[in-house]
Amino acid sequence: MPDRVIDEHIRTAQFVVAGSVEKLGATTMPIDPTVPNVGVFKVEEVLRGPKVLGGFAGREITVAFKDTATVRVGERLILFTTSWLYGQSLAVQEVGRMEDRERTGMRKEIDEAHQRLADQNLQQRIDLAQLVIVGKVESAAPAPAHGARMPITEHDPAWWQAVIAVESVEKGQHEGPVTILFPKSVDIAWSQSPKFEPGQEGIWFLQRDQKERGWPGLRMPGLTALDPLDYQPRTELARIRRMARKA
Amino acid sequence: MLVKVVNMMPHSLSGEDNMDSEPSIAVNPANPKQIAVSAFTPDPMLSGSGPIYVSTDGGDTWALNVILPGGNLTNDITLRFASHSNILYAGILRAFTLDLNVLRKINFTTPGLMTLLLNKPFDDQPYIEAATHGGTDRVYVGDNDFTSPPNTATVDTSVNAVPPPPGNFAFARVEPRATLGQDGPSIRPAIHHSGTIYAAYFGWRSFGIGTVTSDVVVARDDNWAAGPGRFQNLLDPGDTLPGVRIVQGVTIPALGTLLGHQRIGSSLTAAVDPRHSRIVYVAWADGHSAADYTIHVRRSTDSGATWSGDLRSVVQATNPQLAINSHGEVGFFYQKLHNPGSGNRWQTHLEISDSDDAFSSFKDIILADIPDDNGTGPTLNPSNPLGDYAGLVAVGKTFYGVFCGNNTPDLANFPHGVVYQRNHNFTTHQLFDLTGINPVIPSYDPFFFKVAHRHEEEEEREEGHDLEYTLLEVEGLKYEKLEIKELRLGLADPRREGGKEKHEHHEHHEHHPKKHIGAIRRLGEEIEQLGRRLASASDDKDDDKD
Repeated sequence: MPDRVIDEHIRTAQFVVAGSVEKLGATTMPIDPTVPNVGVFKVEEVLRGPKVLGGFAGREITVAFKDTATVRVGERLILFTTSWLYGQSLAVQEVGRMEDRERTGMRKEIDEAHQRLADQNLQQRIDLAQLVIVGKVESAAPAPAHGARMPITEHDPAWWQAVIAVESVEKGQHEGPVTILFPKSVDIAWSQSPKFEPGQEGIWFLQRDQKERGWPGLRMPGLTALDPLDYQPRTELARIRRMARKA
Repeated sequence: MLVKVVNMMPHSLSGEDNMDSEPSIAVNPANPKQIAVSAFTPDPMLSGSGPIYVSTDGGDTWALNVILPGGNLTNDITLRFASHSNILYAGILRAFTLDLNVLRKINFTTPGLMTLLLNKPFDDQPYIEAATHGGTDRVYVGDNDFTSPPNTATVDTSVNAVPPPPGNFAFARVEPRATLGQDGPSIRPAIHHSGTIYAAYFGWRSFGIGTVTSDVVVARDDNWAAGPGRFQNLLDPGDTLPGVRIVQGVTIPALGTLLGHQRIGSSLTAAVDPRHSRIVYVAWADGHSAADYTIHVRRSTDSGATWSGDLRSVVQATNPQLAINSHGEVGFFYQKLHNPGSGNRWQTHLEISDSDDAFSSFKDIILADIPDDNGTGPTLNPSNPLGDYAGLVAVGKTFYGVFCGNNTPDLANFPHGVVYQRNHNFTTHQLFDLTGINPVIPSYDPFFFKVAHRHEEEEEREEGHDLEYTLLEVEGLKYEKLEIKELRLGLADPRREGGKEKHEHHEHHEHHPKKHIGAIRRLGEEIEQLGRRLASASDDKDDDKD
């Protein structure tokens, strides 16, 4: 049975730590004195968080608690937190808290909640797609010029098109190879959008005439997979197939 | 001069390996200890909001504060503090939609997102400047507004930048001439405290083969760009249109042309002398290719009406930045590609010329000499590792700046030394994660720098003694030459508390003339500020005569 509280916290908490409250009204780094409800928290274990912060196990961090009236020094907690300050130390904002408990089970519950969130995010991308296909890139080349050459900007997506030999259609209807557009540009505006090369295999969530990314003047009509989640490896096929049926 | 260079990546992010490029810097004129810097640095937690770098100790230490709305990192971003309000302003292109946002935050170190002042849907490269005047913050954002081409060079102006959106912003198209369909991406405002606002831009006129032909234009507004007919006060003698063409028909390589690993094609900066609104400097880069891409520095001493020839020209360099300090010294920053035989390197310079010298002589400070090497890690923006711009500002007599570069910890790369906050080893030239054990691959980080006159820095240190004056009396003040008959300075005595003399810890409070320096410096600053106000009033009168 999913823990709804954990599911709710995991939506907005990217850094989940277990440990104890060391001090209230104190900090581990210079903090603006007008920020209320701060305290020092000793991290025993990072239960979920980016790799770059993994080294905080065993260290003290600053927490902006939702309120300090309900926290006691010495109290052992599992804290669900989000970003604030990354400095000589770390300061985070509390999103939620739970009593500390048996860690193995807790880790499992958090991982499962995170997996449910990841599934929801993927499902959302599938729901937005008009066409979900499995296939292999046959060719990739610059897209034919479309309309005026304006505007000229460093954020130009430099549209290319890839022709994909379709192995199966998981959502929508299509026969024959599919031609999709992708931004070849590695500018900051497009660097995270998937790029494709001949021989590449995978699963594509394709939107027609997308309106999510870039200025309208930079868009081209056609099928695109611009979000990093819109391209998935073949190994995810069974999971995606299940999701596509729900879409 | 004292030169300080600091690798800004905080200790807690010792394991970070992103390409943190395209920096901008804002120093709070009301409190220069408060500094904000932006770069293409994502929130490590991927919270859905983006960070800026903040320092409250004059740039010695840095933290990331996650306050930018719209995604884990923004696209283009620039920052400025207004002159007296302590409010930080940002011009950003939001992730995904690329909408231009103008934002503000009253306290830049506290949690919570910046407040939206303006949202525009189809603009490029917001470059923000801000000032306080008459009790309101005035904000000027140069941007390339594609909503109604072909005259795209625009300055969004607000003489009272407060929420709700649209923050009292008005939009001034500064380009009056025919273009090839648009102007270049860089539109750079420069504010003088008298209310004179300059705007420099590339007026793109025609296409070449892999190039564009452009004018470099400076427009001017003499009253805070507050009324109708904004930026119309400077007419070109040739065509009598607003905006003087410093040069006409120069060739500029197409956007995306690579100089080393760095794309080029729109390098432009402008600065106005805080002592005299009529003295303005502009630097830009042109050329047919990366091989002859050359930065030019020129000056006008008559409010932009006429311009000098090249005061400086630097080949194969990019990211020019200009700033002029309160003494009229001009700082000229650039990053130059060179190859000493061991591969391409970026040499980062700050040249400082005396006020009246106009670069006939100058100090050349090499801040860094770093490999043009993107490393092997995640490359967020591999063709823009330095960024399309860097940052340089002057507050008082001190220059503050930021640039991006390869973060290999090698003291040989930093002729004036460098301080790293992240775990590093200068002997083995290695970075390490937070544990101090696991090596981290080199990537690009922002580097803060501060260049101060030696006596200033010493005075600042002396201020640590917390000696303050309690009374400043000025008797007999003459406006024209700021002639002061008598000054009386009452120094607070730290040995006294509540009227009673304290004897404990007496040894820590020995009175020595040097300890008065901090108070005297503040006194000097107040006099200087008074002088500026008087000069400003005088400038206003002069401008009226124009």
